[in-house]
Amino acid sequence: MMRLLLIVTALLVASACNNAAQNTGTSPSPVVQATLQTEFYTDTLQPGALRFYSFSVPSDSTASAMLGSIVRLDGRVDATQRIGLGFGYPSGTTCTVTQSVVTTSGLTAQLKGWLTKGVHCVAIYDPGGMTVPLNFAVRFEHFF
Amino acid sequence: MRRTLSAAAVLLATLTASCNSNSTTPIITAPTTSGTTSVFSGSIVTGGTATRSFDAASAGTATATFEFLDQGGVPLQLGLGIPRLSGSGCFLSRAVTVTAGPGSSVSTSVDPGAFCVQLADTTGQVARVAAFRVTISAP
Amino acid sequence: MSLGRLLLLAAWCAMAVATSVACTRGDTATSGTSITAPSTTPADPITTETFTGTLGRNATVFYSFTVASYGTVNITLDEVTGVQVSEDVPFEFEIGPGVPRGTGCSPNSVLVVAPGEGPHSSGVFDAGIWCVRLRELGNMPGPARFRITIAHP
Repeated sequence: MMRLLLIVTALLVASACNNAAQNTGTSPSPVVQATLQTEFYTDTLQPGALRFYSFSVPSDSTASAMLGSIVRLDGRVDATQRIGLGFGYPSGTTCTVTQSVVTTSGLTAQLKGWLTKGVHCVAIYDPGGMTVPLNFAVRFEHFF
Repeated sequence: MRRTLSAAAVLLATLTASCNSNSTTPIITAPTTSGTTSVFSGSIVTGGTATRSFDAASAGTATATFEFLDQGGVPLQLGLGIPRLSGSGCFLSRAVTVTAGPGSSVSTSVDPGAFCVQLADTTGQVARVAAFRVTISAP
Repeated sequence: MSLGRLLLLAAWCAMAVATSVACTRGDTATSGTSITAPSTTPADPITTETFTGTLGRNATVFYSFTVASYGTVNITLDEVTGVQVSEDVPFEFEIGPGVPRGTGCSPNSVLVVAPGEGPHSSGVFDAGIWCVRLRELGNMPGPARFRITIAHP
């Protein structure tokens, strides 16, 4: 009887210690709920120029951008003109682009990236070769 | 002694089983969707446009087909794009000039999200007002 | 059961309970780590940037800059030149710091100031990207050149 009690006690202690070892003992961090936000940027791009739109993200997170439309000033849809699309950060009077693609317009996101917490910009620019101004529409998503 | 050890072994097994919390998680398979088809119908005036928004539930191909116009042989512009925030109008990504009938369509790849179809009389050949029908298929 | 055995059993149980409690309480703090509260003393401005350009009538321009650490930001509208206004028209402009947003700069505060010795705006800012916005209030007859100085950590 005495031995059984000793063995049971030892097993109970061992079990409690094992459970404790599986717990790190740190209190959980509060979870910040971030909302996915969709924004539009429409403007006219001149040959040789860069246009940008600034936004903020509350924490390191993913973002995507779709160059959805390129239309000439006469209303003709241009499905072949290649334009630069990028993410970056506002600096001086421009947007310093840190990740980019050169693409035609389309209805799938051409650019997906990882943005650190803070202020960023989505930029549309002439990568070289534009001869006439173009109206563009960009739809981009980021956490807010 | 033998009974003591047996009882301890049973107890140890019981404790171990109660501490293990390996539960199997059921695997949930998302149902496959075959896309949606909708009809966009209305009237268009001389030099006018008609726009309809639609949603793509998943990535795939969206197609707009110009089925019918009650003024034969009139060419119209049929396009796919992203809807304006104001809700009226469409920023076009792809557009073709078509007359109503078989093969008069425009298609493009889409992500999940909101898109739009636009029918436009860019040449001003519609006589006053014409009734039309467009079929939209989206993933 | 003898008294001695009872006492031994009681001691063993007490030790077991104490050990269990200690185990389930989790890890105790280890020595050698310390947490230092971040300094709340604002850093002095050590970097100066100059924003120059042309400002049209009723126009707005802005310039983005990066503050490296929590500290003081001073903004001065140094000069506006190349335009003449009559003496009864106020030679003033709206200026203020803010956050780049959309196609512009969303100001946190604005001041109406005359160009000259400053700073016209001084405040403490967290590290990050900020902007200064300049707006013409409709008093100038035409475009003019301007110069703004931004001093920040």
